[in-house]
Amino acid sequence: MSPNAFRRRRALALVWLLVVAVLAFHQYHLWRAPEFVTDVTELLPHQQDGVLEEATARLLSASATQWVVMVGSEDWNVTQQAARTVLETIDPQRRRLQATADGKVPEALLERIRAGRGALITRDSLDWLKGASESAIEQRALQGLVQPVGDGVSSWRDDPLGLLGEWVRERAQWSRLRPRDGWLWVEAEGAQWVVLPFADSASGLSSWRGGENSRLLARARALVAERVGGARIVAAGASLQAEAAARRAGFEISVIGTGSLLAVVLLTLVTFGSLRPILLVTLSLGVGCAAALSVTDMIFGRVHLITTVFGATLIGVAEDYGIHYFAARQGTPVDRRWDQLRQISPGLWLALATSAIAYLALGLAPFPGLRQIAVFSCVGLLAAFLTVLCWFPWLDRRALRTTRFSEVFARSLDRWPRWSGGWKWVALAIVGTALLLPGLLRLRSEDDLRQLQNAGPGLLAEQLEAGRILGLASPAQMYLVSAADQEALLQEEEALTARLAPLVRDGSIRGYQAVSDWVPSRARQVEAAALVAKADRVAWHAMAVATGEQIQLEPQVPQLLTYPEFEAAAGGQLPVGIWRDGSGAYHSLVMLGGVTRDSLTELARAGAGLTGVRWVDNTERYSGVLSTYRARLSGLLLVGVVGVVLLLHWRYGRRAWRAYLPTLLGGIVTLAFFGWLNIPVQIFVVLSLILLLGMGIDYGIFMLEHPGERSVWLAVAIAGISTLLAFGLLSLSGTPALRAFGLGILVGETAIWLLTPVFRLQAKG
Amino acid sequence: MRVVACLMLLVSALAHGADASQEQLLQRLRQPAVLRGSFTQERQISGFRRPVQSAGRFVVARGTGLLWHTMRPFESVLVLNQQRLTVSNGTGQPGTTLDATREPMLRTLDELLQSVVVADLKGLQAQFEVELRLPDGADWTMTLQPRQAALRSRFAGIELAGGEYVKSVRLQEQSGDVTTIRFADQMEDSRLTGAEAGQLR
Repeated sequence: MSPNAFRRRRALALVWLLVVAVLAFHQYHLWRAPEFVTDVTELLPHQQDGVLEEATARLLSASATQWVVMVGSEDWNVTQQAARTVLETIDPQRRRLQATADGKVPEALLERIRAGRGALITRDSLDWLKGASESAIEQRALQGLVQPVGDGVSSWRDDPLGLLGEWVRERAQWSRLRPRDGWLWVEAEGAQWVVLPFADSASGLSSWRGGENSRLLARARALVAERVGGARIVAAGASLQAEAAARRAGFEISVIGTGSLLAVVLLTLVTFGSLRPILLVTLSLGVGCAAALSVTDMIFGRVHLITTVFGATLIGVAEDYGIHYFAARQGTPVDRRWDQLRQISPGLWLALATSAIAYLALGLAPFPGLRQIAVFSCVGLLAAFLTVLCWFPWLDRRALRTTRFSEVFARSLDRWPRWSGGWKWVALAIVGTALLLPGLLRLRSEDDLRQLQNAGPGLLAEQLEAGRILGLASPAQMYLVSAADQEALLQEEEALTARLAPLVRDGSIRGYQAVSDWVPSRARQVEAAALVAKADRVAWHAMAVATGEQIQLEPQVPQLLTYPEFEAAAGGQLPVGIWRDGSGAYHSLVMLGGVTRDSLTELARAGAGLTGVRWVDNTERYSGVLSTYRARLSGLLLVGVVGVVLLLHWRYGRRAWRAYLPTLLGGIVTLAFFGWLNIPVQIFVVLSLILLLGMGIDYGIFMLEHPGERSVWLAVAIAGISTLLAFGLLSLSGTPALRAFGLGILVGETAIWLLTPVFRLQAKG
Repeated sequence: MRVVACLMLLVSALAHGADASQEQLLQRLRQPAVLRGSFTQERQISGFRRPVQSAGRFVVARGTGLLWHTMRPFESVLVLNQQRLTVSNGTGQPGTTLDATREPMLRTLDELLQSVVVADLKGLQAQFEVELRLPDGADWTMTLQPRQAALRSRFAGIELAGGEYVKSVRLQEQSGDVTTIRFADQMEDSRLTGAEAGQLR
């Protein structure tokens, strides 16, 4: 080694040491307070529509820290006993229990509402007053007079028809919960439920370490099952979902990580029969993973959990470089290691480049989640590779024997079947086609956001059940109402809710929540006030006639309720309310309860024709996004295939097909497999095909570059097996999207791994 | 709703509640399966000089519900059972109906009614602070203070008086309206008549 080369290599190793030290420092800070994002929608492209984005953000932040535990049984006493157990377990100090959801109108708001008496009446009352005869009004007023007490909102004198009381009662319907024996109670489907709403101080959506609530909940479930038979517990809330997702992701990372690592260690051990390769390969993996995490964190600010789950597969890919290095070293003199590294490094650079390009292609889709995965994987591969390049010859200073296993394995290439074009092979090809074709014909696609949901199906089912029992509005479908000023906005809402009212009556939906329920438009309040004033005179006259009372009453002029006043008095009565965007326009959301698949068309139609009203179907919107990008990435995949084929033809001429055919066949086998198993193709399957193209072609290239060279075959085969294992473990993931991705790679890689040597060139000589 | 919370009190009035001296009270109280009687009601509406007078008959059936039939100055029938509360003008026209599924308070009310009819005073005491006075003789009076803020914000005070049965109830609302109901001609029975059962169904 020349002194110059020595100095250069030493400098490189020291520079890399410095980089690793910086990484270690960053990792230390990262893990002191780890914060990972779990919200599925953050993986999706950012909405072009600022208003809609704002609406979603407002909706999310309103519910982010809240969660609810519901305890139910047929018997109220059993329910109460179970509820006591749950409360004692989860919140013995009653610090987080909320008591505001019982549908009672807050006192401060009630004061202000009373001043609006006459202007605030229900839509039904308004319709009734428009058509009611004098005698009907008299009847109703006198009925009220002989009841033992009033409605608790107004004296009969102030509101002889009880219209304000009725309005207040209708407002209380927004919550089905009622107080009973000191609990919040709801009856549903024959069961008596106690509802325990909790709120945490900090946002639960992005908390990774949390997990506290889930643990308490699990303990409460166990205690109730043990002490109180026959009671059911249903829990729901964004923070619980986030915790479950985090817990699950943590589990999957450790399974995939440990599994892959174990596989790498085992393969390295049997292949090289020495501890050194294991330690060094693990070192390169460690540096790779740390660099991946740190750089992703630095670029994106926060790391998504799905990135880290996916990132755990990196272990199975990034070990390639170390294994290639040791495969070349095996059985050669120790002082040749620098030369050998120089010999294999062009091939390794090429492999790194093709893998990186494949990963980066994932990042072409405007999904923040995929971009993270792309950056994470590329950085991880590069760092692992640089560790091999800069450090391995320094740290690896002793000879490495060939082992029996590596010899046997390397020789297996000679016995591997090779395509010769004979009739047997043609027959095999025909049989293969006959098997694959029906699978391909059965393929179907599906684009569902739930594919990305990793909180687990149990919790999701509970979430739906809780929503049904509590009558919660769904965040999936809603109307976005917009107007230039608040009055116009409220009028637009009223035009919409007038169309929704028949749908509620005929049971298509269970109900709706609108700001104008609480604050009717000025126009409507004025209309109501006029009708009520007239009716009140009729009622008082009837009373005077019935009792002989001589009294002159004048209708009180109502103080019309405005939104700012309502906001000031109610504070948080509505989850979102009215907000103003940067351009000065006003917006609100009309939320729906009890939406079914069948009512969607009717609901979309109800919003049509109203200029300020927009029907928002998030489920459909997200599916649309996923489906659009599935189509675009499929196009990208085809372009990639054409590009690779042209590139290989340019490099290898007529032999090129030997390099790319295994990968193309692997892709087709994967698709046929999905078809046969009836697993729908979604965007993540397409992504797995892209990655297959990038990684699978490597094997073909290596085999074509060094025809018949056994140490190359050894490295390719060992590296392939560990990659397979890593992605195979990913197919155990609880997130359906990752599972499909892992399965795609597993099947495709296996096929490519088996097929690549079949199409190898005859060894020279 | 005009009626629900107040009915809770009315119903309690029809049968009553108690505390430490409730043993003594229980001895003086009758616990019939069905109780019929007549009532007169005076409702003093704030700002009016004269009270509004009405009168009629009532039926309370343990485990079934309540019929409150106002006959003067005009007909009005109120029916409360586990499923619903209906107010009609007695002419056969459909009246206002509240469904227990939409207004879960009714269910509470009905349970309270039952506990009261069988003199299970725990139900009453869950809702009210009861101050009982038992002077010598058969008569008693009691003052009820609602425990829940929701009820407190509606009632300034509630007083009951009775002997073997409840004789009178005085309800003072926060709105200023005061209602006094007097009961008379109480008759016990073991079962409802067919017509009553039909109305309560």
